[in-house]
Amino acid sequence: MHEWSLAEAVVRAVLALIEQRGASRASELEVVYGELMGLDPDLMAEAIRELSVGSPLEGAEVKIVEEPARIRCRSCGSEFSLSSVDIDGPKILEEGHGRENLLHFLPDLAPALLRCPRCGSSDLEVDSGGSLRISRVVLEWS
Amino acid sequence: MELMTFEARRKLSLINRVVLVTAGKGGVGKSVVAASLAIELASRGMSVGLLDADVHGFASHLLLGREGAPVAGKRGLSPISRRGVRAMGLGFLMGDLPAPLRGGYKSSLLESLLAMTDWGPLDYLIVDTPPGTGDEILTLISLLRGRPRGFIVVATSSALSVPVVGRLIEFLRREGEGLIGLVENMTGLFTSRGIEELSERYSLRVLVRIPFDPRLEESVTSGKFPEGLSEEFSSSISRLANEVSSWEGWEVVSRRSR
Repeated sequence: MHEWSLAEAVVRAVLALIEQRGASRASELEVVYGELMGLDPDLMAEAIRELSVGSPLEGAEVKIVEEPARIRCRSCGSEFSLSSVDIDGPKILEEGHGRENLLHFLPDLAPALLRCPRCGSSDLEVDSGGSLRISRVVLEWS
Repeated sequence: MELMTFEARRKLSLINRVVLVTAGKGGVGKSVVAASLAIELASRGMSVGLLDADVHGFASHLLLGREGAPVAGKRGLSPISRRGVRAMGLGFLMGDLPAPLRGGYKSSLLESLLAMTDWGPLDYLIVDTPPGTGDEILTLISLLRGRPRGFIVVATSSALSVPVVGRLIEFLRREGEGLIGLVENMTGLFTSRGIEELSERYSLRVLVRIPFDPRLEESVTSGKFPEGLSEEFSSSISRLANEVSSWEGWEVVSRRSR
């Protein structure tokens, strides 16, 4: 669970946007994260709120939405969800939290760490659920 | 809003100078040059990072040692600290697992790795760049826009290597990238004048000629790298570090970044 460092990135990016647009604050913020990232949305929202204190982002309504992972095998055409497969591979030690799948930190490694449940191929395409993005920011000028 | 791009650029903005070690072809010793340069600069008291940006051919973990693993903290993934260098790359994360990735994934992976790795402020980041002119170098050039950076091109005099290197140099020049110079590696193995021809044709300095050192294998497999190498090897690396530190191009790229 690496919500804190991602929350920091989000807050910094939104503050930069606020400054760039000359706004006085943001009243709403929506972040969509891919299921492959294995985030806890409540922890994420909490981290964002905490990091926003004393900034133009403080008090904004924070919505964190999970986008389900849809993975497609280019070898056999099979489409599957994350729950259909085991995540292979190394785990990263997270200070104070135990070991976390490398996939959660680097979802672009999905083809390296997952296998098609039907044919076992690594030639996978992540159609959704592989990234994090700020989907909506409402700015105010006053 | 492209969050990973924003965060990768932000983390890169804490780094004073980025040296990209490139090559036309694989197998010319680029990783050895990159790792040796990083270790040498660190030994001079600089804060140095080493990024192995090669998704398929990562070798830096073999050179720096596999002990220790990146840990995730509040600020991101911590590079591993070896021989005074803060190192990160797939080798330190994946070990021997293959990474069969198509192009787009390599670009986003590199971007995410740069967004997630907590280098902190650095004097130098040495980037071991995959050979050729593909996704990785294009992504790096894009992320480093506006940042002080210079390219080193590693080549051998092999007639097979030289034309490929020429194309790499053409590409970098076309992109307006600053070239610190050429490094001739494995001197003594090949007899052609390939490097001199490249140097003349592209008005590029040969920074140093590193001799082929049969002791390299032993040095790496024993885990003692860069110890156990010849005096000529060590002094070549020292000269290379001098060239890199005193490159007048740093002034130019710094001015452009303000």
